[in-house]
Amino acid sequence: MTMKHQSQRPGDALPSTALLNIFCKTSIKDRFDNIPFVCKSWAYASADPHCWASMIAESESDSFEVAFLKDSYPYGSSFVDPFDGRRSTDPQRGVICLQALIRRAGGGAAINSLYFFPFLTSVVSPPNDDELLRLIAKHCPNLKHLSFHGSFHASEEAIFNVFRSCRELELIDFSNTPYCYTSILQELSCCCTKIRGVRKQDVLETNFAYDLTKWFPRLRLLNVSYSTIVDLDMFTIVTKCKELQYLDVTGCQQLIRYMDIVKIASKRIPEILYD
Amino acid sequence: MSSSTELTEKKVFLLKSLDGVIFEVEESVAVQLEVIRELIEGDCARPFISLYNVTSEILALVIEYCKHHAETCSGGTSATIADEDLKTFDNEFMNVDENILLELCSAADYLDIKSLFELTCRTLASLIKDRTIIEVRKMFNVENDFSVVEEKAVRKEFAWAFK
Repeated sequence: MTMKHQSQRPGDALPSTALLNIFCKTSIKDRFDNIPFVCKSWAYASADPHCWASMIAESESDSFEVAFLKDSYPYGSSFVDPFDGRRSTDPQRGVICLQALIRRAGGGAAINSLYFFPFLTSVVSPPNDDELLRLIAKHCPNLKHLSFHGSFHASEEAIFNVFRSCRELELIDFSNTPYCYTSILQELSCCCTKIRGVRKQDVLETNFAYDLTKWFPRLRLLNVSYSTIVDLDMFTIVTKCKELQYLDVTGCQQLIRYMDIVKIASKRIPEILYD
Repeated sequence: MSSSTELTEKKVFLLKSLDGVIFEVEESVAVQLEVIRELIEGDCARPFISLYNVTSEILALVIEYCKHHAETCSGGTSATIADEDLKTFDNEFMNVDENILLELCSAADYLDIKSLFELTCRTLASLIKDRTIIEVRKMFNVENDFSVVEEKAVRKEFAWAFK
């Protein structure tokens, strides 16, 4: 019995349910560059659309929250660049990448998490933002997590279309984009009623806090670390978003009396990050 | 052996491994194996349960894992301490050679132990990171069974935008 057992090759015997689960926990780089080419059973298991549901590694139960909300730029290991910084001079490259992902994901319905940064958007003109957003709106109706980080040239119409098509959106990242203004937030709140978290680092629009609290009074998670948030904005947010569970204001240089606000807010908000 | 203490003792079940070794486990441990919980509920767990896909070496590890998890969860310590304790235990538990890991993963799948399945899959996934295809094959004990034509076809199918 023991002999027979030892002659088996356990790796080969891993059931495809286990292989699929393992693959989902690897980076998009490993999934595209290595996994399908290991052997036939790996190629077969990785043909499952669910293997391509997310561009991040789904290794912990809170992986999505960490990658799309709690992490601050530079994101390190949560947004892996499959090309190690190699950039194509072909402006269509990002579009072809997204098309390849959608094809792998059985047409896109399985996709739940996408990020622009650092390799989907084109670094050379013409910009490809609208074309990427058109693909997302058309093929990814079940998208839950989206990071716009790195996208600068999208039209309002293309963004609206994504919101209208992707009604399951829960976590959204506007960091380092110019898209976080009144009409966009309004449309987002009207279309996507499941939004529970927003990340917005970098420069905030003047009425960001007013818009956010007006359109997302039930927001649970907010990361505005390293942003231009001021005391009044922070006060507005902590008093009007009554269901906030997580707030990150680390590295916000323009906050002065934030300790007083933290004192008020900490009674209700379990997790506040500041420095 | 007095019958009165017999009655108050915890229920035990017998698990028989592929190579014929019989393990005695308490109910709190046995029910963590989803397939066995179903057998117990269906009253099909006597006199012993034969596990045809699991060797005694692996079954001993599985039982150790389930026992620790059962004890920690019912130990009356606070949730955060229990969590920390389990994390430390899990990390140490995963510190085994790759072949054992692969077999633990298969066993967790077969015996339907969700937490152990997730843990082993997570550990195996971390082994793929930053490794070449050849290294991955070696680590997972698999051979390149593609023909030249098949490999070309898979390469073409999975081509990213870089050519």
